[in-house]
Amino acid sequence: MQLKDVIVIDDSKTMRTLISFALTGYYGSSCQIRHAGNGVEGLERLAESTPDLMVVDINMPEMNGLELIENVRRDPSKRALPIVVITTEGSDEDIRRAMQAGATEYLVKPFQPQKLYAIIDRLGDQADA
Amino acid sequence: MTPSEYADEDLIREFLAEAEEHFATLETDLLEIEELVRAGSTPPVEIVEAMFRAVHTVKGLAAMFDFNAMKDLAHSVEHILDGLRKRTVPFDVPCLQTLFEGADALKASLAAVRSPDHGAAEARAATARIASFLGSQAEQCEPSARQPEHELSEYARTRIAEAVEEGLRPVRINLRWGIELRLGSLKLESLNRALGQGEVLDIRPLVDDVPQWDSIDPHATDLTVEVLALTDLPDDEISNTLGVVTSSIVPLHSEEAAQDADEADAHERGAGFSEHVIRVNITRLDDLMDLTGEIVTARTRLDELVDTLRARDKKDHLSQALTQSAKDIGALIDVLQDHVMGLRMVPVRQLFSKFPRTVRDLARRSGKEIRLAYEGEETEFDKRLIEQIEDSILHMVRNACDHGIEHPDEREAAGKPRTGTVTLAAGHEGNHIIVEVRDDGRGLDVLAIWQKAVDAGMISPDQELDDGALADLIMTSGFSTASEITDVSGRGVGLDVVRKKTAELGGSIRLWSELGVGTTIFIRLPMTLAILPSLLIVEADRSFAIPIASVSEVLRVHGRDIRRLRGTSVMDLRGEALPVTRLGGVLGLTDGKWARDRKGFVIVVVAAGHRLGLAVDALEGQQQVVVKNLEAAVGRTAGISGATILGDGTVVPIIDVDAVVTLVAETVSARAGTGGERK
Repeated sequence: MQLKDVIVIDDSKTMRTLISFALTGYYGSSCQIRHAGNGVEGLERLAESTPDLMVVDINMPEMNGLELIENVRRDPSKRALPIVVITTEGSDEDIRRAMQAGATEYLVKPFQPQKLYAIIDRLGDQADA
Repeated sequence: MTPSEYADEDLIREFLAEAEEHFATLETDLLEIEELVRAGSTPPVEIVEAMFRAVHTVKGLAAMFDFNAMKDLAHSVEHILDGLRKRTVPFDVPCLQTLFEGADALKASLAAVRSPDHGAAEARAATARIASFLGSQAEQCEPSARQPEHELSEYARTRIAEAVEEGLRPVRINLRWGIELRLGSLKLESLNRALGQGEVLDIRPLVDDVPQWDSIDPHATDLTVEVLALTDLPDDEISNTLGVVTSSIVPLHSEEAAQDADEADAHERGAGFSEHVIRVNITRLDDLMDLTGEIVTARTRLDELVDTLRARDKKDHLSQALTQSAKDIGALIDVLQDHVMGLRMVPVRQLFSKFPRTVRDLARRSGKEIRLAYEGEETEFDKRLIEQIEDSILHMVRNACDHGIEHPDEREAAGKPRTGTVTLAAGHEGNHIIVEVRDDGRGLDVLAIWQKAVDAGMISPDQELDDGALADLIMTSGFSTASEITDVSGRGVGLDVVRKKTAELGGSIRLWSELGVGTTIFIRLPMTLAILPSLLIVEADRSFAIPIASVSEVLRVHGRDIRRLRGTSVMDLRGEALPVTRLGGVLGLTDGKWARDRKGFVIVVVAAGHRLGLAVDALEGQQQVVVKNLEAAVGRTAGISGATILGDGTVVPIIDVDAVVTLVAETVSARAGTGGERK
């Protein structure tokens, strides 16, 4: 999948940088990365334009990742938007709740960039099919 | 997660900054909670949520960077906070106490990332305490008596690891001052004797037991010294020899040593930025440098006085003592100067990293394939110097890309790889730094350049073009445009600026090139801009400083040695006519004439591709001078680049050799009406 525009939502600036670092390292600097520090900001970025992908953390102030995903999925035009959750919580219950809220994929921190690329490629294949 | 994937210095620095913010928030929130708990109210869940999030974020980040000690610690603290927000753990003093300790330990683990020698033990101890808090929440709260935190040296770790094979066991012996350790009664030898075949690995005071200064009773105080040792003897034998109680001998487990080793390894991965860093405004460093420079100057004056005194009476005790003292101070000042200069040093990587973008853009625009390589990018340069040479390096890189590297097809036809390489290299050479811009491009036709220069009368036919002269020629404005050598056209543009700037900084340039192979330009600069080794001279009753870097030799002359040749003053220098001019004349201080019977000196300087003799009245010696910029005070003066203040307070102008030589060359060619004025 050719990524052009990604919204990264995480309350840690360093974590956003890390994710951007991983993405631009693989998809090149032409891949635009928009940052948001919480769910509310994430929705604001989304309102500007719809990206190719959203990367979402769960535990965030203002609006957490689960609420954000639920909010996004309420809009019918965003039902197919790929949302990858990258979070520290890795229990089955956490994953189940995220998927129920509408996450497309789930990745536990610390994550290997290769895992993220594999997921994105898989999402691309699904979209092409 | 392999650490290398994110072990980028900038990322880690960003992480450290963010973690620090989180820890600061954590502490503030903890204090607020403590207030509330003391006042008898239950803290709102939002504060706990915020604290949880802060620790949680740090945990995630620490895991990404493989800082496992910090991750584990954050995980433990998070556990307590989780209990608090779920109301399964009560808000009470013991709990808060543990949280405070946890917060401190987190900060310590952050310090451990910065500097491997610190904080690891604290982090480990706190993790253990938090675990014990969580394990026996209600009953056991007061932190237990602290175990002596023991960071083992590498030697100790290695020896402990080997010890078992040698039949030795590691022990920790606590010796109390005033009881076992009376001054002088227990020496290292007796300690060694008590250990049998073993040895002392480390001795350190246990600082936790040190009483307050005002409550020290020298007769009663129990200061404890901890001895870490290997021994083959049983405890009671050691205790008998040393006269200590057996309980103060604790066996040391090798696992503990192994754990220490693990941690040290883990921290090594974070190395490279592992120093404590504070930000200091560079002007403060400049002030410090200035002051150090003044001390250097004052010391020169002191040396002079000491010399005078010694010359007067060599046997005088006072003068001998003073000489020694001056020598000591001198040595200390040298060290101080080194240290202060070290403060301003930054890796040249900071400079080099600015160019990949330029090279990429230049390559793209011209349809070339260019790779930028680095050598010695860890070399440290004076920060000020880096700022000063940035433009020069940019010009050289541009030239290499524009005129050095060929088009891919052309390169392929010449049997070279399609991608050209421009290499930025840096290194030290004595008190100088070297920056080198190298390309594997088409190179220069040195022979054609030489011919052109001869034709233009810029050099004599018997003059060889060495690296320095070649650089001067190529970089002199007007040369390349005047030449018809197509390959060089445009070469000089911008490089003239490089030459001027380098001269201004007291440096020199060399250029090496071979047709079809490539071109290398070397810049050699004094390591620091603030202190300039200079030759002090006297002319027209005034002192001047001439940067040593520009001086090639000094000759003692008589007025009659200087003759007139085609309207120019020259003197014979090993068969060659060296143009000579009086410094005072150039600066407008004297009429420039020199009486035939007058004795003096000629300073031979080289700049801008010309050699010139500067006649002066007397030499005062060589000295490190502190450069002060004059422009702000008196504006730019032709021939003067700055000034320095000597130990006795005299203000001495520093000669701008490049400007003087250019000035003279212009007057000479104007008077003669031609460019060729040699021989």
